Amino acid sequence: MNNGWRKLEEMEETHQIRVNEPRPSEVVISKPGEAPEVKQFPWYLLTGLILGFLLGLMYAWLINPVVYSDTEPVSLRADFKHNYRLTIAQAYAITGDLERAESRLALLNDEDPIFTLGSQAQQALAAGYAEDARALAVLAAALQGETDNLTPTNSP
Amino acid sequence: MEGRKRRLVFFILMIGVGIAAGVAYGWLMNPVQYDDTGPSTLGMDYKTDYALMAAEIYADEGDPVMAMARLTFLGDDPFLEIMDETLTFAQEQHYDPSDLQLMIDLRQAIAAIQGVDQ
Repeated sequence: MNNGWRKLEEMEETHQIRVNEPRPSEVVISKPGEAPEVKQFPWYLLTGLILGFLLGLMYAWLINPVVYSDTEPVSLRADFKHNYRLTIAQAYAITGDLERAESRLALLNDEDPIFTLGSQAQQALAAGYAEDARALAVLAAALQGETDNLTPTNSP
Repeated sequence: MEGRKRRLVFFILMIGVGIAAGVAYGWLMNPVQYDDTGPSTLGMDYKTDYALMAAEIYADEGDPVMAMARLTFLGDDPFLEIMDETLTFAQEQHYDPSDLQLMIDLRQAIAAIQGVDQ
């Protein structure tokens, strides 16, 4: 009978030990008797961060974007650049100040100012604005002449 | 319950961090770019130079209406206001006296055509 009891107690102990034994993976038992806590990636933190980032972007790009108030002529729309270029040419036609015209044209950052002026002159001529075309062509020619003067030659 | 509260606090905290990062990115690192701006957004130095160009052309043409038409390029502000602003800037920047005189002449011509006291 005693042997029977002992066996029964041993079985209970064995059973308790098995329950309290930590499992090899995932489950960590901090204290015996507490519910096992599963370690998970804190997805809620990442969700909050992404949500906040999107809200921040929406504010910075749509609700309160950076306002440019002191822009340069280079950022002007193409048709405004045409207008600006024409005014430079007209002013040059009157003052004859090539250095000033060049520095003004440089603000537009044209890849090839002479070609751009010539091209715009042709467009003005085609549209029937002969005077504008002339002013643009004169400035283009003046710049061309200056460039030619700077070109080294082989002649003695 | 305590854990849930803590998670909520951290969640809100992360939203705040995210907003700060998003605004910093949107304003400083990759702000909205304007490639096709209008002349009204030009800096005052460029506006002044444009007004000077209009004055140079006016000195030869003598046509204030054409000069005003050119000044519309700089925006919807009244012509005299544009001339006053650019003239003030030109004076502050010590433009050449002959250039200043051209601008003053144009301003006076516009004032005369608009019937405004000079």
